[in-house]
Amino acid sequence: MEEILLRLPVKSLLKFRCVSKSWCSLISSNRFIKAHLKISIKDTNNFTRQNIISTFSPPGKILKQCSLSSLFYGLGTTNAVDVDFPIRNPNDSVRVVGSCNGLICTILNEKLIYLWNPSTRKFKKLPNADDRIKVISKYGFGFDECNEDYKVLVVVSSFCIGGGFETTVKIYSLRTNSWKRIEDLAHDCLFGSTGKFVSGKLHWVRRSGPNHSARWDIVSFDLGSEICGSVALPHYFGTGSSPSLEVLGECLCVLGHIPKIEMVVWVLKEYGVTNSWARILRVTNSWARISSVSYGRRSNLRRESPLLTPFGIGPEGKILLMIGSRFMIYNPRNNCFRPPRIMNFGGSLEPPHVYCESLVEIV
Amino acid sequence: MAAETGTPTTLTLKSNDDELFSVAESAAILSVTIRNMVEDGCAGGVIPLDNVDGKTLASVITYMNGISAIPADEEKKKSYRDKFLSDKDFETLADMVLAANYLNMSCLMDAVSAKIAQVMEKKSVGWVRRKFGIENDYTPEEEAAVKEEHKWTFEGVETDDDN
Repeated sequence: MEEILLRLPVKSLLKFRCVSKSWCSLISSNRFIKAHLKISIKDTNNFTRQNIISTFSPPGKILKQCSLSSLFYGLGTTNAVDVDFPIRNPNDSVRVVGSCNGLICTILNEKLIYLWNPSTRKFKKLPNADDRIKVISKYGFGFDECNEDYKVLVVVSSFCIGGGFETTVKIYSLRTNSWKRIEDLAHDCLFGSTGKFVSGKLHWVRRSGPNHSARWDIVSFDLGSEICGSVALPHYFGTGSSPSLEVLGECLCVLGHIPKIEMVVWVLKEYGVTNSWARILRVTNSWARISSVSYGRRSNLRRESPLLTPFGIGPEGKILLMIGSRFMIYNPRNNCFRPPRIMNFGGSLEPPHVYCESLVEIV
Repeated sequence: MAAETGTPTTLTLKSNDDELFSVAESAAILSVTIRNMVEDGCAGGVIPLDNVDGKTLASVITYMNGISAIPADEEKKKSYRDKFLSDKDFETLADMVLAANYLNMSCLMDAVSAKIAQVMEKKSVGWVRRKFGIENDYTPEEEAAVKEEHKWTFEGVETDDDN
């Protein structure tokens, strides 16, 4: 029986808690929740349990989602649906900054942090990271497997009592429901506003050296041990313009952009193995090939060559990308791009986050 | 080792209602239970399968033959499984999941479980209790309280079609 229940979507499982007391306790058990999550994450046959979620114009006001399966397999046109973030009035802005095990870390009005499970509609507001917040400039969200704890990391600038402000790194633990200061992570050379969570660690691109001869690598922060480390980039990124990080499937991936020359995407196929960096996509100046598909030949954007950001991986290694504010599917087998048949998902401001359906509780 | 001689070995399987079935060994050993019996040398005569009835066993053998005829191509195997299960009703699926479990056939087990999940996804709580023979041990108050916790999950439930 359990084999069957593990394959049900979250909505059905919550409904079937009413079947009997033993079903209810099975579905609510930690063991079942974990096994169900494992199947959701590994759902690489049809991707029905995985969704993308993003904010749309007007800026930061509307959250929409749709399933990965509808993007890759949708035969007709797919409609993205509005998702109601449970607590907000229409003037609030909402932004997704991270996703892990079906939980989403959401920022309301650039200040209040919420953990939210869109599949169960449960959420929790985090206590403030500081009493006198000026601005939170960086976020990271992930799971600490050793302590079975969800953690949020922020770089926060706070007003000081005597005037001026100081910037600190703080980490929140869901288990203790409290913040503490992290001394070891040097925040002033981190690039990118959100840390990327892969293999139990958060990652940022880090710059060393002066402006004109900057060198790049990746700094990692282990959410379990709370120790910093580093990940070497492919040689391609030694110097030059700033690379940026994304997560593709469960792998770290890095994008390079040499204006007017090329854009490349590399993936770290096996975490911790520098040799496993593989270039999966390279778009040279014949950019028109893509942009003429997405914008029409006369578009101005064609000349600007908008940034290309991969954010999801589908069947047969197909890659979901954002180009400018549009979605594209790249098929590595024939090196072609096509737009997914989807309605009303245009105008996304930031690359969407992929999350899988889960019963994971925010406690 | 008999396969080396060129003659495919045939096994005889017996259902719990005494029906006999012939099946090629190469197809039958998709079942880990049967494979173990063959490897232990217990497959000389008739293999009794005490937990599977004739109707279900016939169906499982159709599957064994069909899937083993497909070369190693996951896409094609998947579409065969989808087609094979597409016309089965709930009762047949329920018998098959028990048979797949007893015969230890993980690929059939996964496919049938997913199919049953797909069938029951939008069904009512009452439908699930009837089909799986589950007794409601909640008091009306308790049931209402559990329902109230996730009221929105009861939107879009199909009307029962089984009576």
